[in-house]
Amino acid sequence: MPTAQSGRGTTRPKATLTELRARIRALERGWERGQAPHDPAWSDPVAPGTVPPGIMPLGVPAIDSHLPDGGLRLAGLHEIAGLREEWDDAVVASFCLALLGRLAETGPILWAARRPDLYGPGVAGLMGPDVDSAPTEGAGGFSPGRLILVRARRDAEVLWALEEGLRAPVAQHGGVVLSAVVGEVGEPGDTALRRLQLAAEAAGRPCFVLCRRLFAGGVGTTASATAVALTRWRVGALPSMGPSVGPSAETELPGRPRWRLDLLRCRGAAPGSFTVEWDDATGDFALAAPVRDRPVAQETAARRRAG
Amino acid sequence: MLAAVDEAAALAGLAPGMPLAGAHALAPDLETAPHDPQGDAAALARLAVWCEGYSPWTASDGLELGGAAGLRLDVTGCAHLFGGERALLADLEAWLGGRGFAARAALAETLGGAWALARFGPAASPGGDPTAGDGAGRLVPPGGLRAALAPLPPAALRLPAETCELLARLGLRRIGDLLELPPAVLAPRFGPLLARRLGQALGTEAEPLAPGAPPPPPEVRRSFAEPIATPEDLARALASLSANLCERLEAAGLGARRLVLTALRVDGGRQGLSLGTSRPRRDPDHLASLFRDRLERLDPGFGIEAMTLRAASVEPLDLCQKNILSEYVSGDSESKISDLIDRLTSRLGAGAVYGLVPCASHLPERAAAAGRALEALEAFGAPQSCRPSWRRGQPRPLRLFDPPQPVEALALLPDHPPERFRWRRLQHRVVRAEGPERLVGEWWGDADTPAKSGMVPEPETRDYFRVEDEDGRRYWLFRQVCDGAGDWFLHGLFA
Repeated sequence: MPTAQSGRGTTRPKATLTELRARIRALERGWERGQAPHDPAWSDPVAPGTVPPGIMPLGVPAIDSHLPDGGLRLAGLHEIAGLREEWDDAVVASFCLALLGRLAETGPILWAARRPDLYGPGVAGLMGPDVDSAPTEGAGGFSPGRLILVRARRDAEVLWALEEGLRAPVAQHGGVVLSAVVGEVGEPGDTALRRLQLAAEAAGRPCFVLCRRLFAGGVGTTASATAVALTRWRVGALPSMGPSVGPSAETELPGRPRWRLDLLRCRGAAPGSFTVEWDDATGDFALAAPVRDRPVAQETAARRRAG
Repeated sequence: MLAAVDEAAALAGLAPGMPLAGAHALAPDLETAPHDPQGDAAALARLAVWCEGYSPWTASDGLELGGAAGLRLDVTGCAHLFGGERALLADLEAWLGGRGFAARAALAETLGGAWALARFGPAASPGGDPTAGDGAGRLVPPGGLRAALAPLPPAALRLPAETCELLARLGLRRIGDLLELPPAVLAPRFGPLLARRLGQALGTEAEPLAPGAPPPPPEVRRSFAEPIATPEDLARALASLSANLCERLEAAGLGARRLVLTALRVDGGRQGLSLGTSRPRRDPDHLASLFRDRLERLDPGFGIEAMTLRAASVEPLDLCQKNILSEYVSGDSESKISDLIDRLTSRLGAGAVYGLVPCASHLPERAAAAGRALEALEAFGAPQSCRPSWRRGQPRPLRLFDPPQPVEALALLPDHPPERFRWRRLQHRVVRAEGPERLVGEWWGDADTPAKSGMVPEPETRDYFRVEDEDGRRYWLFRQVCDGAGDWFLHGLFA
């Protein structure tokens, strides 16, 4: 998309300079094909406050400082799984959409799935009240029209579509074809994931794999399956802290969605766990206050019910 | 010389075949236009295609037959759609009249009979009611063809002018006179044509109606001197076929949307591969690459002796200058995307790649439709004033179950959210809830909604609730609103 191109070229001269420097250094050290050009080992030490190219901050300082590069490294594979089987499918998808919404590039996104149940109005509503009328440059902008949905029958077909999307030729002169590829699978094999990781690294674009059918007891998944992706997340819904005005005295209104984000694995960082709150109005998340938790909420509800 | 005259000119005494000078003498303010037989024929052919609204079997009459140009429609089995033959004729005449054509229509059992009646038949129905319109008089009831043709001049039999003159000199001025003569007498005297035309008019001789055929789809064929079987040979043959086809398409200004590759085997077997493209294409390399993955599905058997590649569905594609610098200059991202979509579609099947398009409907399952991926993307890239907008306001789930899943729920009051519900054998206690939000389907309704006895089917009405259970999972539940308490369904999951 030409708009994305121009925005990228003009607003980030410093980023381009950094990237060029990194490449020259890489060439000097015998950097070979297939190795990520944005490898932090090759680049300058990152100055505080600036984001190196190819890194996408999540906008939550606690998470960004936990991640090794100050954000997610884009050129690579990221796995997102649900905390509980089936029930957290929507959270998995929305966390992925939240990440996609923060991408600087506004190109189309390939979304391959085995079950076509992603709902357009829901996607539109998740990302703020009117992203269509706001300019879609930069972070936070996301419209369902960007999605190229692919319906596949088997995991293998989903993974094939992802790889095909990653290996699609990039138009010369910086024209971005796909901003990202997303695939919903049951249980991807190690080999397939490694292929995807290599393809994503070569393409310099992110690839998100959403695991939709984890075992019911698969909270701590086996370590062998996690050795490939750059990051592996496990997300689930938490009770919300809503406004306390309900239609009846017994029930309260649902509040902003709260998610628990477990960073199970990340290259160069320890596992971590975060609680964030999603804001539909801004299409962004923020760290939720950790002290407020279920028992307190229940207590207030009970108190209100009594009074 | 005048080739044709309109009604006003005919009233002034003009007739086809009259010299222009004489015509000007008779009518000094005569407006003339140059005769354009080819243009007339083309316009008539177009009109014949338009008339396919009345019958699928239409053709245009040639202009050289003497009488005015005409259209032929075989309306067998079509008349009841217009309320009978009489109504069909009146409708056809009115339709043509509305487009500025002075037309007379006739309907008879045979093509020859209808031809004669349309041109030489009575101007108005002699005994019919005056409101029935002109067409009524030229509608021949079954079995009445002989009587209807009898008073007409022999020219109505589509005979050349010389034959008509000869008949007139012999005093045979009506078709009825000819019918009285034994057929054996006519043929030696007037030639075989008269007897044939007479037979065709009366239905004793068959006369088929040949409709104008649509142009065949572009197709190229390649026969091999020796049967081929190896994948490399097949790929080479495919490349040359697609190059030839693209030349044909380029000459016609078309692009292929659907392609069919057929392989004929030496043992008489026949195999086909077909695929579609996301937009009209005529790029040989791309078309060949779409088939390349699927060539292995062809079983060559003892060898393939011929292959054909047909563009089964084509769309106009303008000529465009190939830019030799395009690789370096422009970020031609749209064509790259469509290449990718084509590749995905050719492996995963038609309809597997789609985009989300908003639809104006209150029923949630209809508010988003699967559109063509490329169109959805184009709509997204369009300026925001003409971009389709998604209905916002009320929260909508991210995952929608289609069809909604039935759940067992317990609510205290009819319009209250459920206290608890059971989904997939697990009990969920509702802690927070919002609703009801009443959504009503379109009144024009579903065909599949069960109609209550003797009543117009009600549009589907649902009360939706957004609920959250103890563990923070958020669901979209609805209750069907009918008499009393309806069933509960789970329709979606929120983030």
